[in-house]
Amino acid sequence: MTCRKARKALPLLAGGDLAAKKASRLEAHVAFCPACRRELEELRTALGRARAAARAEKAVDWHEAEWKALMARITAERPATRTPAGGRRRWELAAGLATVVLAAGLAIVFRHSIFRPAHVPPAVESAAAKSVPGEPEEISRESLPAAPTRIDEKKFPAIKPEYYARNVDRSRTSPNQASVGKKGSSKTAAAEAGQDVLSVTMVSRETGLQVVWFFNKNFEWKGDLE
Amino acid sequence: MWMKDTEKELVDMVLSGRIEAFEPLVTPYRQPLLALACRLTGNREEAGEVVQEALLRAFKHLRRYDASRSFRNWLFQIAANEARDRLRKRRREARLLEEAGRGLAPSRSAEAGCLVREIRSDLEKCLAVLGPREREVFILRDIEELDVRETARALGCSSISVRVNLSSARRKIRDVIRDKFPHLEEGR
Repeated sequence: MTCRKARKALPLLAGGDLAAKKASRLEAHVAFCPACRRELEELRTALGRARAAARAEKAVDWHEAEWKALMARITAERPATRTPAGGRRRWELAAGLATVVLAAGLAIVFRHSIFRPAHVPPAVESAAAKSVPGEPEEISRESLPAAPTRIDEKKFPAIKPEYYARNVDRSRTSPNQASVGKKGSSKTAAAEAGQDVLSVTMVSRETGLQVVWFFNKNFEWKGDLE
Repeated sequence: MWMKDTEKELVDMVLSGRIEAFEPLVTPYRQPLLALACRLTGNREEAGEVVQEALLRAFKHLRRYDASRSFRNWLFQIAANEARDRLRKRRREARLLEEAGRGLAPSRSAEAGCLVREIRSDLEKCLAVLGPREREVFILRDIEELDVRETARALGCSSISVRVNLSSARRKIRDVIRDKFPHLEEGR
């Protein structure tokens, strides 16, 4: 061990704050190095004197009246009682609240991403068509919102993007149609029936496989397509 | 260091609502706490305020006390934190005062300004040469004789940081005793 390295550790050796192994290495160096030995002795002496001076200092203490007043003031504060599992209960409440907030946040996020307005299955489409036989289209094709592109129309001709668009737009214009009369009302009813259906689509990036789940408004499973 | 049985019983009594047990719990430490606060702040009045606040905190947060630790060291930790907060505040105020009074009075460093205090003993004069962290470490480890680990815990820092500050503090104390207070070195 060099003197330079030894001197860095001498203050710790003087106070007994080195691990045994390191201390014995350092002591071995100090044993044959007079300069380091002298420095270690100086440090030990200074430390001993400082401790002795601290012990010799006139002890500061409280006046009894001051101490009593302090105790009275402290114990007049809210007591530090230990309620049974009080801390745990608070944590449980906090965790419950956090879960509810998280669930609400997820519901808001996924309402727009997963539970989109329905691609109505063929069965529902035909039922809707029957409810308004021969009804002319009142809404121009151009004004309809863009149809979803996830479902391949060639593979699934029964699920037409137009149908999706028609239903969405009818529901949007339903207040006006309701005021027209009976026909309008029946169309609105059909549209609302369409709106009650939700779909969830999963598309495999590797194989192109699509799985579509349809649910009614009670989240009862209707069927799937592959 | 494990908690003494009587202290454990007193802590349990306070926690179960018998607040009169708090006084016998902390009375053995009233003088050591005040001495520690005096050394950390260098001012008796401020030390009294530090201990008051520390005991109040200890009372309010007694349920957080970890019974595997020494109760004394826990109290020391609270008092050291309180003293540090007060010193920081005082330093900040001194800096603001210095900025406000620049040009009107001879310039003094903020550090020197905050050290305007009643220095009563040679030991305190020695401690005045230490930086804030060195001072805390030296007082807790070498004067109050906490071990390095407890010192680190009390100050909320690592054991390595304690060792580094302790080394420099001991060197400075050695130098100041040798140069300015040789009578201390001679044991007078």
